Amino acid sequence: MWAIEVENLCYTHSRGTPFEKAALQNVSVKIARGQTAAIIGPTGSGKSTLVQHFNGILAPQKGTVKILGRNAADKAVRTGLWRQVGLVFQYPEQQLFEETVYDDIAFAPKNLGLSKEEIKNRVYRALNDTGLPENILTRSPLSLSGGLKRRVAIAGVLALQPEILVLDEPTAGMDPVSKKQFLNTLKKLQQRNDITIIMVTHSMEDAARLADWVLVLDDGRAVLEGTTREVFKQAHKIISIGLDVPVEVKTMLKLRQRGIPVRSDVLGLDEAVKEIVKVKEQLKKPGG
Amino acid sequence: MPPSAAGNNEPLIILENVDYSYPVGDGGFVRALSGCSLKIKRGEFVTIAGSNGSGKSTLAKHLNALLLPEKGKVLVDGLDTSCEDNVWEIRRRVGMVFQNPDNQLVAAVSEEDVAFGPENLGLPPGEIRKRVRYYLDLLKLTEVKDRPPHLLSGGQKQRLAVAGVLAMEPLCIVLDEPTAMLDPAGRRELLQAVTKLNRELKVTVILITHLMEEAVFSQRMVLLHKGKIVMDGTLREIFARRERVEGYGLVLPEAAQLAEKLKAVGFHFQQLPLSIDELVDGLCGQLK
Repeated sequence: MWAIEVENLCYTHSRGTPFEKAALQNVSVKIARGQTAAIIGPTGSGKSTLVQHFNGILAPQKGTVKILGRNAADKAVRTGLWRQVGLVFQYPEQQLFEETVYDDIAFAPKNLGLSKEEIKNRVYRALNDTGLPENILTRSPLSLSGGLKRRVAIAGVLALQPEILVLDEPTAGMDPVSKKQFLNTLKKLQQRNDITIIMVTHSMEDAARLADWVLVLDDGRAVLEGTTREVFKQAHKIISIGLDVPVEVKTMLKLRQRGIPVRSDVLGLDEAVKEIVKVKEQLKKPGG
Repeated sequence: MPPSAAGNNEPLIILENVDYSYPVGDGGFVRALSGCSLKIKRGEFVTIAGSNGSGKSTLAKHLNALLLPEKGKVLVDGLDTSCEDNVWEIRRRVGMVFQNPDNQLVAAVSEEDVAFGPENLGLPPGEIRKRVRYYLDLLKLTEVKDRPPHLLSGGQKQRLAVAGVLAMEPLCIVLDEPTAMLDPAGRRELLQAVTKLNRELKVTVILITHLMEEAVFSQRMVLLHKGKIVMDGTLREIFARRERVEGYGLVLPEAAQLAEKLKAVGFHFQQLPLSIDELVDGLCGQLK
Protein backbone atom coordinates (compact mmCIF):
# COMPACT_ATOMS: atom_id res chain seq x y z
CA MET A 1 0.00 0.00 0.00
CA TRP A 2 1.13 3.51 -0.74
CA ALA A 3 1.52 6.11 1.95
CA ILE A 4 1.66 8.88 -0.64
CA GLU A 5 0.49 8.89 -4.25
CA VAL A 6 0.95 12.10 -6.16
CA GLU A 7 0.03 12.34 -9.81
CA ASN A 8 0.73 15.25 -12.14
CA LEU A 9 0.59 17.73 -9.31
CA CYS A 10 0.86 21.40 -10.25
CA TYR A 11 0.90 24.27 -7.82
CA THR A 12 1.26 27.98 -8.46
CA HIS A 13 1.95 30.41 -5.61
CA SER A 14 -0.02 33.69 -5.54
CA ARG A 15 -2.16 32.60 -8.45
CA GLY A 16 -3.69 35.51 -10.33
CA THR A 17 -1.30 38.12 -8.92
CA PRO A 18 1.81 39.72 -10.47
CA PHE A 19 3.90 37.50 -8.18
CA GLU A 20 2.53 34.29 -9.65
CA LYS A 21 5.16 31.57 -9.57
CA ALA A 22 4.90 27.95 -10.59
CA ALA A 23 6.23 25.97 -7.64
CA LEU A 24 5.37 22.45 -8.82
CA GLN A 25 4.97 21.33 -12.38
CA ASN A 26 3.54 17.91 -13.14
CA VAL A 27 5.15 16.16 -10.23
CA SER A 28 4.32 12.47 -9.85
CA VAL A 29 5.68 10.44 -6.98
CA LYS A 30 4.76 7.37 -4.97
CA ILE A 31 6.08 6.58 -1.53
CA ALA A 32 5.41 3.14 -0.12
CA ARG A 33 4.26 2.59 3.45
CA GLY A 34 7.09 1.95 5.86
CA GLN A 35 9.65 3.52 3.58
CA THR A 36 12.05 6.32 4.42
CA ALA A 37 12.20 8.76 1.58
CA ALA A 38 14.39 11.81 1.16
CA ILE A 39 13.30 14.74 -0.96
CA ILE A 40 16.25 16.82 -2.04
CA GLY A 41 16.62 19.86 -4.25
CA PRO A 42 18.06 23.37 -4.29
CA THR A 43 16.29 26.13 -2.35
CA GLY A 44 13.20 27.22 -4.22
CA SER A 45 12.82 23.90 -6.03
CA GLY A 46 9.38 23.20 -4.55
CA LYS A 47 10.27 20.72 -1.80
CA SER A 48 8.38 22.47 0.99
CA THR A 49 5.40 23.14 -1.30
CA LEU A 50 5.24 19.45 -2.16
CA VAL A 51 5.28 18.20 1.43
CA GLN A 52 2.69 20.76 2.52
CA HIS A 53 0.27 18.81 0.32
CA PHE A 54 0.87 15.73 2.45
CA ASN A 55 -0.97 16.92 5.55
CA GLY A 56 -3.61 19.09 4.03
CA ILE A 57 -2.01 22.52 4.45
CA LEU A 58 -2.16 22.99 0.71
CA ALA A 59 -4.95 21.71 -1.50
CA PRO A 60 -3.91 20.40 -4.91
CA GLN A 61 -4.67 22.93 -7.66
CA LYS A 62 -4.20 20.42 -10.46
CA GLY A 63 -3.44 16.72 -10.36
CA THR A 64 -4.21 14.29 -7.56
CA VAL A 65 -2.79 13.69 -4.12
CA LYS A 66 -3.75 10.57 -2.21
CA ILE A 67 -2.63 10.10 1.38
CA LEU A 68 -2.99 6.61 2.82
CA GLY A 69 -5.36 5.89 -0.03
CA ARG A 70 -7.64 8.86 0.53
CA ASN A 71 -8.02 11.69 -1.95
CA ALA A 72 -6.84 15.04 -0.57
CA ALA A 73 -9.04 16.92 -3.02
CA ASP A 74 -11.81 16.27 -0.48
CA LYS A 75 -11.77 18.97 2.17
CA ALA A 76 -13.04 16.61 4.86
CA VAL A 77 -10.07 14.32 4.17
CA ARG A 78 -7.61 17.23 4.26
CA THR A 79 -8.81 18.63 7.56
CA GLY A 80 -8.49 15.22 9.21
CA LEU A 81 -4.99 14.53 7.93
CA TRP A 82 -3.23 16.08 10.93
CA ARG A 83 -4.05 12.94 12.92
CA GLN A 84 -2.10 10.67 10.59
CA VAL A 85 0.53 12.97 9.16
CA GLY A 86 2.86 14.87 11.46
CA LEU A 87 4.72 17.72 9.82
CA VAL A 88 7.73 19.41 11.31
CA PHE A 89 8.21 22.73 9.60
CA GLN A 90 11.38 24.20 8.21
CA TYR A 91 11.48 26.67 11.11
CA PRO A 92 9.96 24.52 13.86
CA GLU A 93 10.45 27.30 16.40
CA GLN A 94 7.50 28.92 14.68
CA GLN A 95 5.31 26.07 15.80
CA LEU A 96 6.10 26.54 19.49
CA PHE A 97 3.61 28.61 21.42
CA GLU A 98 2.80 27.15 24.84
CA GLU A 99 4.10 28.48 28.14
CA THR A 100 6.13 25.43 29.02
CA VAL A 101 7.89 22.77 27.03
CA TYR A 102 5.62 20.14 28.62
CA ASP A 103 2.44 21.85 27.43
CA ASP A 104 3.90 22.36 24.01
CA ILE A 105 4.72 18.70 23.51
CA ALA A 106 1.37 17.69 25.08
CA PHE A 107 -0.66 19.91 22.76
CA ALA A 108 -1.34 17.40 19.97
CA PRO A 109 -2.04 14.40 22.25
CA LYS A 110 -4.48 16.61 24.19
CA ASN A 111 -6.28 17.39 20.96
CA LEU A 112 -6.52 13.70 20.24
CA GLY A 113 -8.54 13.48 23.43
CA LEU A 114 -6.17 11.07 25.18
CA SER A 115 -6.16 10.43 28.91
CA LYS A 116 -3.85 12.46 31.16
CA GLU A 117 -1.77 9.38 31.84
CA GLU A 118 -1.34 8.57 28.15
CA ILE A 119 -0.48 12.19 27.37
CA LYS A 120 2.22 12.10 30.04
CA ASN A 121 3.62 8.84 28.65
CA ARG A 122 3.78 10.28 25.19
CA VAL A 123 5.48 13.48 26.35
CA TYR A 124 8.19 11.53 28.15
CA ARG A 125 8.67 9.16 25.27
CA ALA A 126 9.01 12.03 22.80
CA LEU A 127 11.45 13.74 25.14
CA ASN A 128 13.53 10.62 25.28
CA ASP A 129 13.36 10.11 21.50
CA THR A 130 14.71 13.59 20.85
CA GLY A 131 17.37 13.34 23.54
CA LEU A 132 16.04 16.25 25.58
CA PRO A 133 16.70 16.42 29.33
CA GLU A 134 13.70 16.22 31.70
CA ASN A 135 14.52 19.49 33.42
CA ILE A 136 13.62 21.30 30.25
CA LEU A 137 9.90 20.50 30.69
CA THR A 138 9.17 23.44 32.97
CA ARG A 139 11.01 26.00 30.87
CA SER A 140 9.43 28.30 28.36
CA PRO A 141 10.11 27.03 24.84
CA LEU A 142 10.85 30.60 23.83
CA SER A 143 13.81 30.80 26.21
CA LEU A 144 15.63 27.90 24.55
CA SER A 145 18.45 28.04 22.03
CA GLY A 146 17.67 27.57 18.35
CA GLY A 147 18.77 23.93 18.26
CA LEU A 148 16.83 23.02 21.41
CA LYS A 149 13.66 24.70 20.11
CA ARG A 150 13.91 22.56 17.01
CA ARG A 151 14.10 19.42 19.09
CA VAL A 152 11.11 20.46 21.21
CA ALA A 153 9.08 21.08 18.05
CA ILE A 154 10.00 17.65 16.74
CA ALA A 155 9.10 16.09 20.09
CA GLY A 156 5.68 17.76 19.80
CA VAL A 157 5.06 16.06 16.49
CA LEU A 158 6.41 12.68 17.63
CA ALA A 159 3.96 12.81 20.56
CA LEU A 160 1.19 12.64 17.98
CA GLN A 161 2.57 9.21 16.97
CA PRO A 162 1.71 9.83 13.33
CA GLU A 163 1.60 7.16 10.61
CA ILE A 164 3.50 9.45 8.29
CA LEU A 165 6.18 11.71 9.67
CA VAL A 166 7.23 14.55 7.40
CA LEU A 167 10.30 16.52 8.41
CA ASP A 168 11.29 19.65 6.54
CA GLU A 169 15.04 20.10 7.05
CA PRO A 170 15.01 18.33 10.41
CA THR A 171 18.71 18.53 11.26
CA ALA A 172 19.39 22.08 10.15
CA GLY A 173 20.66 23.93 13.19
CA MET A 174 21.33 20.80 15.25
CA ASP A 175 24.81 20.27 16.60
CA PRO A 176 26.57 17.07 15.53
CA VAL A 177 25.80 15.15 18.70
CA SER A 178 22.09 16.04 18.70
CA LYS A 179 22.03 15.30 15.00
CA LYS A 180 23.50 11.86 15.51
CA GLN A 181 21.08 11.19 18.36
CA PHE A 182 18.17 12.36 16.27
CA LEU A 183 19.17 10.27 13.25
CA ASN A 184 19.41 7.27 15.55
CA THR A 185 15.89 8.05 16.77
CA LEU A 186 14.67 8.07 13.20
CA LYS A 187 16.45 4.77 12.61
CA LYS A 188 14.66 3.29 15.59
CA LEU A 189 11.35 4.60 14.29
CA GLN A 190 12.13 3.09 10.90
CA GLN A 191 12.39 -0.33 12.46
CA ARG A 192 8.78 -0.07 13.46
CA ASN A 193 7.51 -0.90 10.01
CA ASP A 194 4.29 1.00 10.37
CA ILE A 195 5.76 4.48 10.06
CA THR A 196 6.61 6.22 6.83
CA ILE A 197 9.26 8.90 7.14
CA ILE A 198 9.66 11.61 4.57
CA MET A 199 12.42 14.12 5.00
CA VAL A 200 13.21 17.18 3.04
CA THR A 201 16.90 17.79 3.34
CA HIS A 202 19.96 19.58 2.03
CA SER A 203 22.20 17.22 3.87
CA MET A 204 23.27 14.58 1.38
CA GLU A 205 24.98 12.73 4.23
CA ASP A 206 21.64 12.42 6.05
CA ALA A 207 19.92 11.23 2.87
CA ALA A 208 22.68 8.72 2.15
CA ARG A 209 22.64 7.35 5.67
CA LEU A 210 18.94 7.12 6.27
CA ALA A 211 16.81 7.03 3.16
CA ASP A 212 15.88 3.94 1.11
CA TRP A 213 14.63 6.07 -1.65
CA VAL A 214 15.40 9.57 -2.97
CA LEU A 215 13.46 12.09 -5.05
CA VAL A 216 15.34 15.03 -6.55
CA LEU A 217 13.39 18.18 -7.39
CA ASP A 218 14.68 21.05 -9.48
CA ASP A 219 12.66 24.10 -10.40
CA GLY A 220 9.37 22.43 -9.50
CA ARG A 221 10.01 19.26 -11.49
CA ALA A 222 11.01 15.76 -10.43
CA VAL A 223 14.36 15.23 -12.17
CA LEU A 224 15.67 12.04 -10.57
CA GLU A 225 14.22 9.32 -8.41
CA GLY A 226 15.22 5.89 -7.28
CA THR A 227 17.03 4.02 -4.57
CA THR A 228 19.58 6.08 -2.71
CA ARG A 229 22.50 4.33 -4.38
CA GLU A 230 21.04 4.71 -7.88
CA VAL A 231 20.46 8.42 -7.33
CA PHE A 232 23.87 9.25 -5.91
CA LYS A 233 25.44 7.33 -8.78
CA GLN A 234 24.28 10.20 -10.96
CA ALA A 235 26.63 12.54 -9.13
CA HIS A 236 27.21 14.86 -12.06
CA LYS A 237 23.55 15.49 -12.56
CA ILE A 238 23.10 16.21 -8.86
CA ILE A 239 26.04 18.61 -8.78
CA SER A 240 24.86 20.35 -11.95
CA ILE A 241 21.64 21.48 -10.25
CA GLY A 242 23.51 23.01 -7.32
CA LEU A 243 23.37 20.12 -4.89
CA ASP A 244 26.15 18.08 -3.42
CA VAL A 245 26.85 14.41 -3.12
CA PRO A 246 27.96 12.81 0.17
CA VAL A 247 31.59 13.42 1.11
CA GLU A 248 32.57 9.79 0.40
CA VAL A 249 31.17 9.98 -3.15
CA LYS A 250 32.93 13.30 -3.76
CA THR A 251 36.23 11.87 -2.54
CA MET A 252 35.90 8.89 -4.87
CA LEU A 253 35.07 11.11 -7.84
CA LYS A 254 38.14 13.24 -7.19
CA LEU A 255 40.32 10.14 -6.90
CA ARG A 256 38.96 8.95 -10.24
CA GLN A 257 39.83 12.31 -11.79
CA ARG A 258 43.39 11.70 -10.66
CA GLY A 259 43.42 8.34 -12.43
CA ILE A 260 42.75 6.06 -9.48
CA PRO A 261 40.19 3.42 -10.50
CA VAL A 262 37.92 3.44 -7.44
CA ARG A 263 34.18 2.83 -7.65
CA SER A 264 32.15 5.94 -6.95
CA ASP A 265 28.86 4.34 -5.92
CA VAL A 266 29.73 4.05 -2.26
CA LEU A 267 27.44 4.99 0.59
CA GLY A 268 28.93 5.73 3.99
CA LEU A 269 32.53 6.33 5.05
CA ASP A 270 33.16 2.66 5.79
CA GLU A 271 32.28 1.55 2.26
CA ALA A 272 34.66 4.19 0.92
CA VAL A 273 37.50 2.98 3.16
CA LYS A 274 36.93 -0.62 2.03
CA GLU A 275 36.99 0.38 -1.62
CA ILE A 276 40.19 2.44 -1.27
CA VAL A 277 41.93 -0.42 0.53
CA LYS A 278 40.81 -2.86 -2.18
CA VAL A 279 42.11 -0.65 -4.99
CA LYS A 280 45.38 -0.08 -3.15
CA GLU A 281 45.95 -3.84 -3.00
CA GLN A 282 45.07 -4.31 -6.67
CA LEU A 283 47.48 -1.56 -7.68
CA LYS A 284 50.26 -3.14 -5.61
CA LYS A 285 50.01 -6.48 -7.44
CA PRO A 286 52.53 -6.80 -10.27
CA GLY A 287 50.82 -5.98 -13.53
CA GLY A 288 47.79 -4.69 -11.59
CA MET B 1 32.67 52.17 6.73
CA PRO B 2 32.46 54.22 9.90
CA PRO B 3 35.69 55.84 11.05
CA SER B 4 37.57 53.85 13.63
CA ALA B 5 37.20 55.16 17.16
CA ALA B 6 40.12 53.29 18.67
CA GLY B 7 43.56 53.00 17.12
CA ASN B 8 43.90 50.53 14.25
CA ASN B 9 46.23 48.33 16.24
CA GLU B 10 43.71 47.85 19.01
CA PRO B 11 41.56 44.70 18.84
CA LEU B 12 38.15 45.42 17.31
CA ILE B 13 36.29 43.49 19.96
CA ILE B 14 37.28 42.83 23.55
CA LEU B 15 35.29 40.74 26.01
CA GLU B 16 36.48 40.87 29.60
CA ASN B 17 35.15 38.28 32.02
CA VAL B 18 31.61 38.40 30.70
CA ASP B 19 28.82 36.69 32.66
CA TYR B 20 25.24 36.48 31.49
CA SER B 21 22.15 34.61 32.76
CA TYR B 22 18.67 34.16 31.36
CA PRO B 23 15.66 34.19 33.65
CA VAL B 24 13.59 30.99 33.55
CA GLY B 25 9.91 30.50 34.26
CA ASP B 26 10.04 29.71 37.99
CA GLY B 27 12.05 32.77 39.04
CA GLY B 28 15.43 31.06 38.67
CA PHE B 29 18.21 31.77 36.24
CA VAL B 30 20.17 29.78 33.71
CA ARG B 31 23.78 30.78 33.34
CA ALA B 32 24.49 31.22 29.61
CA LEU B 33 27.97 32.77 29.72
CA SER B 34 30.50 32.65 32.49
CA GLY B 35 33.84 34.39 32.63
CA CYS B 36 34.21 34.79 28.87
CA SER B 37 37.29 36.74 27.80
CA LEU B 38 38.14 37.14 24.14
CA LYS B 39 39.94 39.53 21.81
CA ILE B 40 39.15 39.75 18.12
CA LYS B 41 41.56 41.63 15.90
CA ARG B 42 40.58 43.84 13.00
CA GLY B 43 40.27 41.86 9.80
CA GLU B 44 40.17 38.46 11.50
CA PHE B 45 37.85 35.66 10.39
CA VAL B 46 36.89 33.77 13.53
CA THR B 47 34.54 30.83 13.98
CA ILE B 48 32.75 30.51 17.27
CA ALA B 49 31.69 26.89 17.67
CA GLY B 50 29.88 24.91 20.31
CA SER B 51 26.96 22.53 20.74
CA ASN B 52 23.30 23.64 20.98
CA GLY B 53 22.81 25.68 24.12
CA SER B 54 26.55 26.30 24.65
CA GLY B 55 26.06 30.07 24.64
CA LYS B 56 27.11 30.88 21.06
CA SER B 57 24.10 33.02 20.19
CA THR B 58 24.16 34.70 23.59
CA LEU B 59 27.77 35.64 23.04
CA ALA B 60 26.97 36.92 19.55
CA LYS B 61 24.24 39.18 20.91
CA HIS B 62 26.78 40.82 23.21
CA LEU B 63 28.84 41.92 20.23
CA ASN B 64 26.39 44.61 19.15
CA ALA B 65 24.77 45.48 22.45
CA LEU B 66 21.61 43.43 21.96
CA LEU B 67 22.50 41.91 25.29
CA LEU B 68 24.56 43.61 27.98
CA PRO B 69 26.91 41.72 30.25
CA GLU B 70 25.69 41.08 33.76
CA LYS B 71 29.29 41.18 34.89
CA GLY B 72 32.42 42.11 32.96
CA LYS B 73 32.75 44.36 29.95
CA VAL B 74 32.40 44.31 26.16
CA LEU B 75 34.30 46.87 24.07
CA VAL B 76 33.63 47.29 20.36
CA ASP B 77 36.18 49.48 18.62
CA GLY B 78 36.92 50.95 22.04
CA LEU B 79 33.26 51.67 22.78
CA ASP B 80 31.73 50.16 25.91
CA THR B 81 28.45 48.38 25.03
CA SER B 82 26.93 49.10 28.44
CA CYS B 83 27.02 52.84 27.80
CA GLU B 84 23.71 53.69 26.13
CA ASP B 85 25.14 56.60 24.12
CA ASN B 86 27.42 54.18 22.29
CA VAL B 87 24.74 51.80 21.04
CA TRP B 88 24.09 53.52 17.71
CA GLU B 89 27.82 53.75 16.91
CA ILE B 90 28.35 50.12 17.93
CA ARG B 91 25.56 48.88 15.66
CA ARG B 92 27.04 50.82 12.73
CA ARG B 93 30.21 48.85 13.28
CA VAL B 94 28.85 45.39 13.95
CA GLY B 95 26.17 43.97 11.66
CA MET B 96 24.31 40.84 12.69
CA VAL B 97 22.73 38.11 10.62
CA PHE B 98 20.44 35.86 12.64
CA GLN B 99 19.60 32.16 12.43
CA ASN B 100 16.13 32.81 11.11
CA PRO B 101 15.98 35.48 8.40
CA ASP B 102 12.25 36.03 8.91
CA ASN B 103 13.14 37.91 12.06
CA GLN B 104 15.10 40.56 10.26
CA LEU B 105 13.31 41.21 6.99
CA VAL B 106 11.29 44.39 7.26
CA ALA B 107 10.27 45.72 3.85
CA ALA B 108 7.49 44.78 1.42
CA VAL B 109 9.88 44.42 -1.50
CA SER B 110 13.29 42.70 -1.42
CA GLU B 111 15.19 45.63 -2.90
CA GLU B 112 13.77 47.98 -0.27
CA ASP B 113 14.84 45.59 2.42
CA VAL B 114 18.47 46.01 1.38
CA ALA B 115 18.01 49.79 1.20
CA PHE B 116 16.56 50.00 4.72
CA GLY B 117 19.90 50.05 6.58
CA PRO B 118 21.71 52.53 4.28
CA GLU B 119 18.66 54.82 4.38
CA ASN B 120 18.86 54.89 8.15
CA LEU B 121 22.52 55.80 7.93
CA GLY B 122 21.36 58.92 6.04
CA LEU B 123 23.36 58.13 2.92
CA PRO B 124 22.67 60.06 -0.32
CA PRO B 125 20.19 58.30 -2.69
CA GLY B 126 22.85 57.67 -5.34
CA GLU B 127 25.04 55.83 -2.83
CA ILE B 128 22.07 53.84 -1.54
CA ARG B 129 21.18 52.73 -5.07
CA LYS B 130 24.79 51.77 -5.76
CA ARG B 131 25.02 49.66 -2.61
CA VAL B 132 21.66 47.99 -3.15
CA ARG B 133 22.65 46.98 -6.67
CA TYR B 134 26.08 45.77 -5.59
CA TYR B 135 24.97 43.65 -2.66
CA LEU B 136 21.93 42.18 -4.43
CA ASP B 137 24.31 41.11 -7.17
CA LEU B 138 26.91 39.78 -4.74
CA LEU B 139 24.31 37.56 -3.07
CA LYS B 140 22.76 36.61 -6.44
CA LEU B 141 19.39 38.21 -5.70
CA THR B 142 19.06 40.66 -8.58
CA GLU B 143 16.49 38.41 -10.22
CA VAL B 144 14.14 38.56 -7.25
CA LYS B 145 14.68 42.20 -6.28
CA ASP B 146 11.08 43.20 -7.02
CA ARG B 147 9.48 40.34 -5.11
CA PRO B 148 8.16 40.49 -1.54
CA PRO B 149 10.57 38.77 0.88
CA HIS B 150 7.89 36.42 2.21
CA LEU B 151 7.60 34.82 -1.23
CA LEU B 152 11.31 34.00 -1.42
CA SER B 153 12.64 30.56 -0.58
CA GLY B 154 14.37 29.98 2.76
CA GLY B 155 17.80 30.30 1.18
CA GLN B 156 16.95 33.43 -0.74
CA LYS B 157 15.60 35.03 2.44
CA GLN B 158 18.81 34.24 4.26
CA ARG B 159 20.90 35.79 1.50
CA LEU B 160 18.61 38.84 1.53
CA ALA B 161 19.21 39.28 5.27
CA VAL B 162 22.96 39.13 4.64
CA ALA B 163 22.71 41.65 1.78
CA GLY B 164 20.80 44.03 4.06
CA VAL B 165 23.51 43.90 6.70
CA LEU B 166 26.37 44.15 4.21
CA ALA B 167 24.79 47.21 2.58
CA MET B 168 25.52 49.10 5.80
CA GLU B 169 29.20 48.25 5.25
CA PRO B 170 29.96 47.50 8.88
CA LEU B 171 33.51 46.94 10.19
CA CYS B 172 32.44 43.55 11.43
CA ILE B 173 29.72 41.12 10.51
CA VAL B 174 28.46 38.46 12.90
CA LEU B 175 26.70 35.53 11.24
CA ASP B 176 24.72 33.31 13.58
CA GLU B 177 24.39 29.93 11.84
CA PRO B 178 23.61 31.66 8.58
CA THR B 179 23.63 28.59 6.38
CA ALA B 180 21.27 26.32 8.28
CA MET B 181 18.60 26.77 5.63
CA LEU B 182 20.76 26.99 2.54
CA ASP B 183 21.36 24.30 -0.04
CA PRO B 184 24.95 23.24 -0.70
CA ALA B 185 25.41 25.67 -3.58
CA GLY B 186 23.83 28.51 -1.59
CA ARG B 187 26.03 27.65 1.36
CA ARG B 188 29.16 27.71 -0.74
CA GLU B 189 28.15 30.99 -2.36
CA LEU B 190 27.44 32.65 0.96
CA LEU B 191 30.70 31.50 2.50
CA GLN B 192 32.64 32.54 -0.57
CA ALA B 193 30.98 35.98 -0.49
CA VAL B 194 31.84 36.33 3.19
CA THR B 195 35.42 35.15 2.62
CA LYS B 196 35.78 37.70 -0.17
CA LEU B 197 34.52 40.51 2.08
CA ASN B 198 37.04 39.45 4.66
CA ARG B 199 40.02 39.18 2.30
CA GLU B 200 39.35 42.10 -0.01
CA LEU B 201 37.43 44.61 2.08
CA LYS B 202 39.08 43.55 5.36
CA VAL B 203 35.70 43.18 7.05
CA THR B 204 36.08 41.33 10.33
CA VAL B 205 33.94 38.18 10.20
CA ILE B 206 32.61 36.24 13.15
CA LEU B 207 30.89 33.05 12.10
CA ILE B 208 28.83 31.14 14.63
CA THR B 209 28.40 27.54 13.61
CA HIS B 210 28.74 23.94 14.63
CA LEU B 211 29.44 22.81 11.10
CA MET B 212 33.13 22.12 10.94
CA GLU B 213 33.01 22.13 7.14
CA GLU B 214 32.27 25.83 7.46
CA ALA B 215 34.85 26.56 10.11
CA VAL B 216 37.46 25.58 7.51
CA PHE B 217 36.97 29.00 5.90
CA SER B 218 38.19 30.84 9.00
CA GLN B 219 41.67 31.35 10.44
CA ARG B 220 40.79 30.88 14.06
CA MET B 221 38.28 28.93 16.07
CA VAL B 222 36.92 29.64 19.53
CA LEU B 223 35.09 26.79 21.18
CA LEU B 224 32.35 27.36 23.73
CA HIS B 225 31.07 24.74 26.13
CA LYS B 226 28.44 25.38 28.79
CA GLY B 227 29.00 29.12 28.55
CA LYS B 228 32.78 28.98 28.89
CA ILE B 229 35.49 29.45 26.31
CA VAL B 230 37.30 26.12 26.40
CA MET B 231 39.54 26.18 23.31
CA ASP B 232 40.94 28.94 21.14
CA GLY B 233 43.40 28.39 18.31
CA THR B 234 43.91 27.60 14.64
CA LEU B 235 41.69 24.93 13.18
CA ARG B 236 44.50 22.47 12.90
CA GLU B 237 45.51 22.98 16.53
CA ILE B 238 41.95 22.35 17.61
CA PHE B 239 41.20 19.37 15.36
CA ALA B 240 44.47 17.75 16.44
CA ARG B 241 42.75 17.21 19.79
CA ARG B 242 39.94 15.18 18.43
CA GLU B 243 38.81 13.55 21.63
CA ARG B 244 38.56 16.83 23.44
CA VAL B 245 36.56 18.38 20.59
CA GLU B 246 34.21 15.41 20.57
CA GLY B 247 33.81 15.72 24.31
CA TYR B 248 32.40 19.18 23.67
CA GLY B 249 29.76 17.73 21.36
CA LEU B 250 31.39 18.58 18.04
CA VAL B 251 32.88 16.37 15.37
CA LEU B 252 35.70 16.73 12.85
CA PRO B 253 34.86 17.78 9.28
CA GLU B 254 33.67 14.77 7.26
CA ALA B 255 36.85 14.71 5.20
CA ALA B 256 38.91 14.51 8.40
CA GLN B 257 36.67 11.70 9.69
CA LEU B 258 37.29 9.75 6.52
CA ALA B 259 41.02 10.40 6.89
CA GLU B 260 40.92 9.10 10.46
CA LYS B 261 39.27 5.89 9.27
CA LEU B 262 41.93 5.50 6.55
CA LYS B 263 44.67 6.05 9.13
CA ALA B 264 43.23 3.18 11.14
CA VAL B 265 43.81 0.81 8.18
CA GLY B 266 47.38 1.91 7.52
CA PHE B 267 47.29 5.10 5.48
CA HIS B 268 49.45 8.05 6.55
CA PHE B 269 48.91 11.77 6.33
CA GLN B 270 51.58 14.35 7.15
CA GLN B 271 48.90 16.52 8.68
CA LEU B 272 45.24 15.79 9.20
CA PRO B 273 43.34 16.68 6.00
CA LEU B 274 40.55 19.16 6.70
CA SER B 275 39.03 19.24 3.21
CA ILE B 276 38.35 16.69 0.48
CA ASP B 277 41.07 18.22 -1.71
CA GLU B 278 43.67 17.83 1.05
CA LEU B 279 42.48 14.27 1.61
CA VAL B 280 42.71 13.35 -2.09
CA ASP B 281 46.16 14.98 -2.36
CA GLY B 282 47.36 12.94 0.59
CA LEU B 283 45.88 9.70 -0.76
CA CYS B 284 47.11 9.89 -4.35
CA GLY B 285 50.78 9.50 -3.40
CA GLN B 286 49.94 6.34 -1.44
CA LEU B 287 47.86 4.77 -4.19
CA LYS B 288 50.01 5.30 -7.28
